[in-house]
Amino acid sequence: MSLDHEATPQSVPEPAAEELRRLHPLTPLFRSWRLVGLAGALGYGAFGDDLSRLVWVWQALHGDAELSLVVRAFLLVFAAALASVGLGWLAWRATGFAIVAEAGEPGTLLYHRGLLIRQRSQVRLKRVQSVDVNQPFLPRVFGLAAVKLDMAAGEDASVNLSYLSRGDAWALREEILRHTSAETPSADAVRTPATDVVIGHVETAHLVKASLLDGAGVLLSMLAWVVLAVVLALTIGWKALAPALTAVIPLTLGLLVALRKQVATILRDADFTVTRTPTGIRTRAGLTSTANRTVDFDRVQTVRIERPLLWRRFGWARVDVDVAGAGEAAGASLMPVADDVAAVALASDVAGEVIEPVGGVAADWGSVLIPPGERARLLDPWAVSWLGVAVLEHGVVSRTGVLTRTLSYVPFARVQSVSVRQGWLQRRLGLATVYLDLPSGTSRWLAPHRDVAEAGDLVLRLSAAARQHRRGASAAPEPATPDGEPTLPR
Amino acid sequence: MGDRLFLEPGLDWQPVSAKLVTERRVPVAGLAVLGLGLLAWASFAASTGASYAGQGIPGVILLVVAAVSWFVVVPRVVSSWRYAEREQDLLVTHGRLWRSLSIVPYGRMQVIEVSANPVARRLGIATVKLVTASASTDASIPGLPVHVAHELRDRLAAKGEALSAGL
Repeated sequence: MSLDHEATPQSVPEPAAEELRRLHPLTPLFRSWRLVGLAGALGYGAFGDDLSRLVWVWQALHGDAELSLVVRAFLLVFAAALASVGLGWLAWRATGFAIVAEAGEPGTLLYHRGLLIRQRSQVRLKRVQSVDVNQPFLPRVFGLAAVKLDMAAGEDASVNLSYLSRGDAWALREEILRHTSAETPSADAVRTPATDVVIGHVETAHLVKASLLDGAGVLLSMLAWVVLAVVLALTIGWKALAPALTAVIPLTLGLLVALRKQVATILRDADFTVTRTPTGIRTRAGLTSTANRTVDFDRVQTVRIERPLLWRRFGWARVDVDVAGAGEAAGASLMPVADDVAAVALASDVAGEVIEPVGGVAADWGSVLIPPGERARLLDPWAVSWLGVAVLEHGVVSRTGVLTRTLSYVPFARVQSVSVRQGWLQRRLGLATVYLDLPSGTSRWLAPHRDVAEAGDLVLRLSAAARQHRRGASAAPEPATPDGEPTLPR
Repeated sequence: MGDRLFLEPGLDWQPVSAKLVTERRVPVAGLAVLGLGLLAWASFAASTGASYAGQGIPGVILLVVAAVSWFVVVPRVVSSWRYAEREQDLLVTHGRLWRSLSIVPYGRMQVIEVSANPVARRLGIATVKLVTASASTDASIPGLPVHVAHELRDRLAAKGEALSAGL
């Protein structure tokens, strides 16, 4: 486990065993729920109709009768489930966590676990990138939840405390957030959750419509292929049906996969609620299992506004953020669908400055938006009218994408390094592409096909601005969050 | 025009050692040997009778590719590597057809790696690589004489310490 196992500068006091908090006692049961469920199902199949058969089992065990296949399977799975739960229980006994904090210091989460190989992790809470409360379907029914801490080091390094009772999970989340967002926990102890404001909610009907429209291109093209294949088969004759069908089968499979993905997306994003907390944004979504994600304003690496082709005529958009280490985690979405004004308002709120003028795709940027080089049209004829870069006060915006019009905003303070690339065609045309490198797990920011002179200028401006903001951030812990009312476009 | 973008004038651009050409030529030599082997096999097959002239084609293609790499591509690419140290950041540029320039602030460096494969060790050169929190940062300088590599590493480490900033 490659957690923040750094040589701890200040020694963390070893807590006594009784100070460690335990996970919920039902945890072993849910950890091996598949086996338990299977044992239950098989048991029902074997004895469900007649409990008196238990007597028969007794006889069978003593060699008086033949065991049916179902009974044997049940006994096997039951034994496995028992062993799994037993081991799980032992592991549960060996698992514990505690938050230790010395006065004035940000806290550390101690996480002890492991039956055979003992693992003791110390997670500096200041380094936590985001805190999720997840409720998978079954634990949710029983009122349990898991708390997941994302670290910048990626998926391997995240800590998953499963399961806690729902109340405990939320309390723990609050406690951790107090440590993550503040230099000193005491300064923040006065903050109450009462300042959380719900700033957005997505109606399920809206979500379904939007999701279908988003995937409509894929679905339609697939359907068209199927129709084409069938029509071919009919016109050429039935003898040609077999080759036509071989073409249709993978397409049909593709169609099913696409449909499944759509349904999964809808289930995941159903009942999407966005809440603004004093230090970040919290999202809550999910029909069968709910996921709560909290993103601190000063952990945001990229803010994106995306507008798929078929959404544009309705004026819809979605907002995503990238947080270091979260990877392709489902919670990267801040708003699965909203009208333009609300989406831009949310994105600007997270960014801390207005990142797009009112007007959506056709917004009037004036001279702020620098278009790509003149001859970019030859390389990218479909996107060229959309491409553009705008250097704002605290970050930079780039517009990319042909079918899905994307606007990506990166705060200067998050830029790791700047680079320029030029392919041989671009060189001929006097163009170059500018990149910003961001921490792993986030997508790369790029500004394609800049005019060479302007690209050099842009690189200078970007690295200078990044330097300045970095210095500002390291000199004084100036919060990247807007104080009080954010400035939103209306 | 492009030169101004990738090789900003007024900076102290350092080339890398010409020994890098030798290092980069080693795999090319392997390719040439493979091509020769294929040709030998083709001519052997031809001598036994049951063959046609086309069997020599893959070998010839490999040899041509190897020759072009040996005499043109490798020397040109190697001579395109340049790096410059500025007050706040390190600039690395390379490539002829596909050009690239990376600007890495000292404050963002997480790790500085110095590495050398067996061939490079024989030649006394090493690669210095700057690792930031971003996987896409592409700033490695191959073909530095070992003492230069170590000096560069120490200089970078010192500057990184002074200007350190986290994520």
